[in-house]
Amino acid sequence: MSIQIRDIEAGYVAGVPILKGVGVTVEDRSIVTVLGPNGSGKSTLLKSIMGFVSIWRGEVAVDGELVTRVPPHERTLAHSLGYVPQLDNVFGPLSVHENLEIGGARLSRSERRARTRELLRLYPRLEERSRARADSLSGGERQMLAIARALMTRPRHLLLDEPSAGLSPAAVEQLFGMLAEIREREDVTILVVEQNAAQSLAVSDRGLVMVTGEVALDGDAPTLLDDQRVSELYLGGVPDATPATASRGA
Amino acid sequence: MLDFLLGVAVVAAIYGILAISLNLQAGATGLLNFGLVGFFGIGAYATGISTMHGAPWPLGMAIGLVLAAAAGAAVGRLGRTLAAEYWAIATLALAELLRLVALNTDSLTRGPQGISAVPGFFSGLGPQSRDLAWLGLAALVLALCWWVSQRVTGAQFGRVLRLVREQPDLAASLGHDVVGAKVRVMAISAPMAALAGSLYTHYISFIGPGQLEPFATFLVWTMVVVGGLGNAFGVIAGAAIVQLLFDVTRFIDDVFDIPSENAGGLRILVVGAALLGFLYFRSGGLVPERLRRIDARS
Repeated sequence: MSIQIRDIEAGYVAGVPILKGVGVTVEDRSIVTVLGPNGSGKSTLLKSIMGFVSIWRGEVAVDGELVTRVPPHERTLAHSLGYVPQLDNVFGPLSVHENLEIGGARLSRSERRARTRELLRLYPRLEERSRARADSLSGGERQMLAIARALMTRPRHLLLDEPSAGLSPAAVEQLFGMLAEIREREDVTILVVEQNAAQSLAVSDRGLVMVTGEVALDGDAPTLLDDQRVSELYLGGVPDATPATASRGA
Repeated sequence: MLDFLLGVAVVAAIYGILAISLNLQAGATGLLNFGLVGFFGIGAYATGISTMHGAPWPLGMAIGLVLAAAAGAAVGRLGRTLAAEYWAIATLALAELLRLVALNTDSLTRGPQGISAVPGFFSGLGPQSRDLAWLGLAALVLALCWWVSQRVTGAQFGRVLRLVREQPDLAASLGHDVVGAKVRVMAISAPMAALAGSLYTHYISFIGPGQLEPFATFLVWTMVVVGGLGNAFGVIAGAAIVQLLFDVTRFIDDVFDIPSENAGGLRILVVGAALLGFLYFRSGGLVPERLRRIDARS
C-alpha cells in the first residue's frame, strides 16, 4: 500500500470540514486521478496528505507508516513525498536552474548538481531556458519546471494539483505524456487532481470523483472513462445514486 | 550644529541596527514584527538593571543578547500555531506587555521614572570627541550587524528564507522547516535589536518605559519602508534619512511658530506621512530589494 487515507475529516476552519470521511487507497506505482467539480475537496485531499490542513478525524499513512501528526517538511523527507501546488508553484525571480537547485536543497552539493544536470538533460526545453527567470516561462514550461523540481529528491510519491490548469491543448498533451513517462522512469506513485478528465484518466490506472467533500465514485480508469455520471459529476451535478457501481472509498 | 549632527548620526546608526534586525525578519522572511521595540527593551533593561546593581557593562549587554535570542526563538515558535496576521498582532501585544511590566515593577525597573545614570562610554573625552567616538562605535556595530545580515540572506539559507516568505507551503513541500527557519531568523535578529537597546541606554544613560512605546517600532518600520524592505543597505539609508527628518522637525515649532505642545504630534505626523507617501508612491523604497541578478535571456 503506497498511500492510505482512512476516513478523514479535514478542513481549514474548525467546525467547517471540507473532507467528510474520505477514504482512499493509492496503490504502489499507480497513477490515480482525482476528479470533481470546484469546491469538492480535491486539492484539500492532497493538502491533507502533505499536512497543510488540519485533520480532525481519521488517518493518513504512507507506505504503512502513519504521518497524520508528522510536520509537512518531515513528511516530505522521511516519507518521500513530492508536491506540486496548483498556483505559485515556481519561484519566479529565480532562474530555471536555481529553481531546480532549491528543490534539491536538502541533497548534498554533488547530488544536487548531478540531479539538476540529469533533469535538465531529460527536459531539453528546460535546459534551453536554464538561465531564464522562472516567471518568464510559458504555462507549460512552468509546470514542467515545477514537476522537475519536485522530482529533484527522487520522491516515491508525487502529488500534483491540477497541473494542466490554464495550459494550451498541446501543452496538456505533452504534460500527460510526461506523467506516464515519469512513472516508468522514476518508479513513482502519482496522485493527480485534475479537471481534464479524459486525458488524465487515459494515463491513469484508477480514478475517483469527489463531490462536496466525499468520494462519490472510485474505480478503474477505463471504467470511469465510459461512465456517464463522470461527466455529470465533473460538470457539478449530483449523481442519481451514490455510492456508485464502482467501489466507493477504499 | 556639529554636536546636533553628531547626535543625530549616532542615534541613526543605532536605529540602523534596529532596521537591519527588522529587515531580517520582515524583509527576508516575511515576519511582520510589530513588537520589535520589545527586543530593544530587553537589551536596554538588561543593561540598565545590571549596571544599576554594579555589574560590568559587558555582562549587562551579554544578558540582554542571550535573553533576546531566547525570547526571539520563543516568539518565532508561535508561528507554529499562529497565522501570519495573528503572529503580527501577538508581537505587538507581547511588546506592550513588556512595557507594562517595566512600568509597574518598581523594585526591578524603577517603574515610570526609569533607570538613570547608566554609565556611558568614552567619559574621559570632551563632548564632541565623545560623540565622534560613539559614532565610530555605533557604526562599527552597525557594520557588524550588516555583515551578519548579508551572511544570513546571501547563503543558501537566504534563498530558503525568501521561499518561506513568498511560498511557505511550497517551501515545506521541498522539505524546508518553515517554523524552524523563522525561529532561527528570530534568534539571530532579536539580539541585534537588544544590542541596539543596550547601546542606546549607554549613550543616553537612561532607560524608561516611555522608550518602549509602540511608536518606536513604527519609526523603525518607516525607516525600513523608506529605505527599501528586503535591502540591508537600503534600510540603513532609510534609518539615516528618517532619523534626520525626525530630529530636524524638533525645530518645527520655532520655524512655524507652532505651540510646542502641538509640535510633538506634528513630528509623528511627518513620520506617518513619509511612511504613507513611500507605501503609495514608491513601495519598493529608495533602494528596492534585488532578489538577485539573473540573466533573463532565454
